[in-house]
Amino acid sequence: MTEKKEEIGLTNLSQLENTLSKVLKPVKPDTVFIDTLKTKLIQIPTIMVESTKKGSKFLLVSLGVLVGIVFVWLLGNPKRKKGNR
Amino acid sequence: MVKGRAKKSPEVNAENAVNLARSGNSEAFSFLYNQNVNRIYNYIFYRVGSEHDAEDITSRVFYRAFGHIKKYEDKGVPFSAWLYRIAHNLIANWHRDRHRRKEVSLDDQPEIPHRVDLPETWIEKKQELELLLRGIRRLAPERQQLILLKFLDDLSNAEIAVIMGRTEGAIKSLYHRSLIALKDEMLRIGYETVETKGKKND
Repeated sequence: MTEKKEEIGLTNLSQLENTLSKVLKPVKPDTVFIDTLKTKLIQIPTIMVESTKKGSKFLLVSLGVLVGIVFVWLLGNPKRKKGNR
Repeated sequence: MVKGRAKKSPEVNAENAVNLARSGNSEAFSFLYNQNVNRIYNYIFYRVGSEHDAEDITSRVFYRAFGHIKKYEDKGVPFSAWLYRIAHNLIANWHRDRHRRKEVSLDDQPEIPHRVDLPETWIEKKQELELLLRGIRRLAPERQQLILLKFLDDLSNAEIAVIMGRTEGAIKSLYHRSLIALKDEMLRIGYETVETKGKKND
């Protein structure tokens, strides 16, 4: 009896396997999506070159600070001259 | 005369693609992408049942993989196994978010893949596919993963074992249990096997 049940179970499972292999077919994704994603992904390395941007930002900030110091120094200079007089 | 000093980039193949991609070679990225995008998309699509969500999760898988590729350790496991694991985790997050938002269950409205190259008997098969998808999505995530890898990607137990981080024996046993569970789910939701059809006719 149990043997028979197992037999039925096995045939059922093999039927299920057949159905799965017949019905589960790969889908074709949207080619526009695939191409767009690829382009975006490959652009990542160029986007990731942020070190130059950071460098230029740092340069700009330090230049600004330097200009500020010079400006303060220039403003302070006439006062010193007056004080000296 | 100025001699060109530009280094000729090495030809990308399945063996060196990962290492080249790790060093930022865009050709290698392309190669890995082309080799894996369809299978990853398919896996995700059948797990989530929506084209829009499948595209969203596929994008995230590749962004995450390529964003962390420098951390990738080549342990002799195929690169696709890493992608499948990322996909598996993102799908789990996606399901968790859906449950939190209490959206309509996928079991109730399975989306049928409209780009499937189905045989001429598509209309007859449509109902079968709907029931199958409903049954598959009622299984535990690892069982769903196993069935989809087996039938969509046509992978062997050994290959699935590598992807799922288990032994081949464990996969074999899990596969058998998954089929039994699927059969039970199918019967529960009204799928008629040849056996039950025969009984009805008698």
